[in-house]
Amino acid sequence: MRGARALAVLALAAAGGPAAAVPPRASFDGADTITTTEGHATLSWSVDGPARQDLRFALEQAPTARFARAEERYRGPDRGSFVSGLPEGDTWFRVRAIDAEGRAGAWSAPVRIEVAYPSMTLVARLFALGAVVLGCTVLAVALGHRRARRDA
Amino acid sequence: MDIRSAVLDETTGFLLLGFFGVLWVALGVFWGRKARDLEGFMLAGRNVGLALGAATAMATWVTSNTIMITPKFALQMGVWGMLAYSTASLGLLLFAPMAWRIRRLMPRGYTSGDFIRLRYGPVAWRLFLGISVVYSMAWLVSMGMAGGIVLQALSGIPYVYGMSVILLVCVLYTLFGGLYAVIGTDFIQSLIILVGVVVVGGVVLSRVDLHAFHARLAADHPALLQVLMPVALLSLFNNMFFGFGEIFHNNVWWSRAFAMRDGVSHRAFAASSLFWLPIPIATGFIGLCAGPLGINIPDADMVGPLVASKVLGSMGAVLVFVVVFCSLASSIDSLLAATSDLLVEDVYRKMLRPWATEATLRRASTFVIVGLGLATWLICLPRLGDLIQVLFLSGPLVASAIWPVIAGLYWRRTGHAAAVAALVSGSAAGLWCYFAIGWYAASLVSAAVSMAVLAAVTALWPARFDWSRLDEAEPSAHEEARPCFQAGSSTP
Repeated sequence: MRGARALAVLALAAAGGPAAAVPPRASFDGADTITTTEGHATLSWSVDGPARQDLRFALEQAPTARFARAEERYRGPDRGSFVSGLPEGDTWFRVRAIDAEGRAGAWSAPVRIEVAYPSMTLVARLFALGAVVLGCTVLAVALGHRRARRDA
Repeated sequence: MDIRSAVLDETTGFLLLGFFGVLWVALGVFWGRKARDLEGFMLAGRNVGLALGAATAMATWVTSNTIMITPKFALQMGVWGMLAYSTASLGLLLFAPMAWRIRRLMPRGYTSGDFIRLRYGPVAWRLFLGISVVYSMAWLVSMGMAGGIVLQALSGIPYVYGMSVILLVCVLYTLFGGLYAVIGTDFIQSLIILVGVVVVGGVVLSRVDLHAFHARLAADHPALLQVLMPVALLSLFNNMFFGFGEIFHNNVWWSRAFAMRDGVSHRAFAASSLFWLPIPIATGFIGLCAGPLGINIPDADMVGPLVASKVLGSMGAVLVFVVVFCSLASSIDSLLAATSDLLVEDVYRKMLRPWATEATLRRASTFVIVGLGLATWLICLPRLGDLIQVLFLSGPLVASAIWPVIAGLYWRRTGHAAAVAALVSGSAAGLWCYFAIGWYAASLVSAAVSMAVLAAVTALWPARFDWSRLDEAEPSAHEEARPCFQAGSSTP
C-alpha cells in the first residue's frame, strides 16, 4: 500500500502534477503604458489557465523599469488596484501570483504610468479666472438681493 | 475586475434592501394621501415649514455622489479634492436669497422652466429644458450606477439587482406620494445620514494614527500632499461652478422654493448649506484613509464604502449600506418628482396639451415618473464609464445657466438674446474644454464665458423687463378644462 502511494507521488512529480505546480504568471489587462494628467490610474490583472480561488497577488511599484527601489503596494486576493497621488514622470508596476503555500509565480510584464500634470501657468490662469467669476457671482447675488429687499 | 472585498453576505444585503424598500414605499403611500390635487402632488400644498424645508434640501444635496465621489476625490486629489467637493455647500447658501426672490416674483410658479419661459421666451426656454433634462438624466444615471456599485461592494449583490431594486423603490414611492412623500422621507433620511456619517467618520478617525497616516501618504501618494497639485487646484473652482449650475437651474431646488411657506425658503436653504458642509469633509477623510490603513481599492468608485466597512466590520458595512441607501433614495425621489414636474408642466402641458385637465396631468405625471425610471434603468444596465465621467459631462451645460438665472432674477436689462447667447456660448466653450483640457476645467470655463457673453450682450442690447409678467395666472387646466396658454406665445 505504502509502495503504491510512493509510486503515485513519484508519477505526479514526474508529470509536473499539482504538488509541484507554481502559480501561473499574472499579466496586466490593457495597454502597457498609461498616460494621465491627473496622477492616478486603475490597474487590473488576470492569470492564465483555469480560475483558482487560492491565489493572492503582490503588486510592486518602482520609479524605474528595473524595479531597483521597488515597494510592495498591495498583497491580497483582489485582481485590481486604484493607484493615486503618483509623482510627475514615470512610475512602474508589476504583479505576480502567490499560492496558498507561499509559492510565487513569475512577475508580469511591467506597466508604465506616465504622469504629465497640466502646466502651472495654465493652472494659475484658470485659478485666477475662477476667483474673478466667483467674486462676480457672489457680488451679483448680494447686490441684487439687497436691492430687491429694499424695493419690496 | 474581480473584486473579493465584500463584507456582508448577500442575504443580509437583500434583507436590508427589502426592509428599507418596504419602509420607504409604505411611508410614500401614507404621506401621499395628503396629495389630493395636482398642486399637493407637485408642491406639497406650498406649505412646507423651516425644519422640513431645511431637511429636504440637505438630504437631497447629500447624494450618492457625496458619499461615493467625495472619498474618490480625496483619494485622487488629496485634501484639495475633499475641499473641492465641499464648496458645493456655497451653492445652497447663494440660492437662499434667490429662493426668497423666486417666491416674491412667482408666488404661483411651478417650475424653473416657467421662470425661463416667462422671463426669456421660447428659444431660451427650449434650450434650458434640453440642458435640464440632459443633466437630470446624468444625475439619475450616476445615482442608479452608484446604487448598484455600492451594494455589490458591500454585500456582493450583483450590480444589476441592486441598481434595479433601488430604482424600483424610488419610483414606487414617488409615484404614490409626490412631493409630500419625497419631503417626508427626506426628513427621516437626513437624520439617518447625519448620524451615520458622524459615527463612521468618528470611528475611522479614532483608528488612524495621524503621524503614521501622514508618513504613509507621503511615501505612497506624494502628490496628494502637494499644496499646488494642479488638477486639485483646478477642480476647486470647477466643482464650485458645477454645484452652482446644478442648484441654480434645476427644478429640484426651484420646486422646493415654491413648496416652502412664504418667508421660510431663504432660511431653510441657508440652514441646509450649514448642515451639509461637514458631510463631504467627513466622507472625504474616510477616502483619504484608504492608503494609510493599507486597504486596497480595486475600483475608486467604491473607496468610501470599502474603507468604512473594513474599519468598522460588519456593523460598519450595515451602517454604510443604510446611509448610502438613504442618500440615494433622498436624491432619486427628488429628481424623479422635480423632473417629472418639469416634463409634465413645461413639455406636456405647455407644448403638447394646453387643454389638459388636472386628471390628465396627474396621469401624465405617472407615465413620466415610470418612464424616467425605466430610461434610467436601461442606461445604467451596461455600467458604462465611471461615475465622475457620467456626471461631469453635464457640468458645462448647467454652469452656462448660472448667469442667465441670476440676471433673470435681478437684472431688468437682461433680455432673451443675452440669455440665449450665454447658454449657447457657455455650453459650447465648456464642452470644448472638457475634451481639450479635461473635466476639471470645463464647468469653470463654461461659467466664465457665459458670464462674459451675458454681460456684453446686456450692455449692448439692453431690454426692460416688467417683473409683474413673472406672476403668471393660475394655469386654467388646474381649475377647468380650458387653456390659458398657447405654446410659444409668451415671448417677452
